[in-house]
Amino acid sequence: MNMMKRGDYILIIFLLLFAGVLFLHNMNNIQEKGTMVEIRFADEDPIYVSIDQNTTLDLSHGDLVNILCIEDEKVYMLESNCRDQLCVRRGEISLEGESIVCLPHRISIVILGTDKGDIDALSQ
Amino acid sequence: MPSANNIQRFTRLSLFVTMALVLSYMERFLPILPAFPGIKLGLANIITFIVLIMYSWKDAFFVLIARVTLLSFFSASGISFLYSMSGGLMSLMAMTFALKYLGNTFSLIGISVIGAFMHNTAQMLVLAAVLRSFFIPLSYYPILVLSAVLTGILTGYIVANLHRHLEKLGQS
Ligand SMILES: [Zn+2]
Repeated sequence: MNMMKRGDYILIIFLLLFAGVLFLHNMNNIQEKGTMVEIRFADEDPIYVSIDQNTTLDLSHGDLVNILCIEDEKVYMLESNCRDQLCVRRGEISLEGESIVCLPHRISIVILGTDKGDIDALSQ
Repeated sequence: MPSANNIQRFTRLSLFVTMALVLSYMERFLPILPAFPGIKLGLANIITFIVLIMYSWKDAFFVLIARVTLLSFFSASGISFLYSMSGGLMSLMAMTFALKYLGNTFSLIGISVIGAFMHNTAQMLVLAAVLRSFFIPLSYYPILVLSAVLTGILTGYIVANLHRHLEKLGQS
């Protein structure tokens, strides 16, 4: 494309490198199977559930319905009445660092590893 | 008394708002990636950008605010409004600045990439504020930056061509 300038190429290469470095950095904590599930609602204190128990959690608040399942060390949103349904369509997560977000209902679920230090650092 | 000039301007702006709404609406039928919430083509940005280039930041600002506000009537959640608005405003501010001061360094494609990058960065920050945590937003950020580059190039390419053709049609 002859309409592009040198600055464009530099900007694009810089942003791609930036994304790549961040991605590799994130990949460091996402490889292993997680052990803990951290569940947050709005600015309330998070709750922690072990990933090896099979359970169904009702995270509903008033009219905002969210049902979370933990099954065979996998976590998924079974049901939600949120508008975008992204949380339900997200499917199963099981690895450390993976997450499910229900933005309309301000709920986030993230899988943590064994390191208790991580949990303390994250929940400051 | 509204002058003929004002009426013309308002008609033009309404037309752009309508086009932006149609593009936003059409985008809902495109497949989405559930694993990566917030990744969109951002076709409506084509309109914001073309208005910014051909008219003024004030006109682009009006088109943006009208589009996001009208669209929020169809989606009940206040958070998605906050999400679109913050991204749109940040992107418009960055593009206005880049167009004015960095026009020699970047073409319209580069400026569009800057806008898309700032758009997604603002959304990452809003997500962090809503969730009260940086952990999840940061895990999405690399893919948001990548998508900003790709959608920024696409939008910029469309706008550059559109602009060229409109200029040819004559300054009306
Ligand atoms: Zn949801």
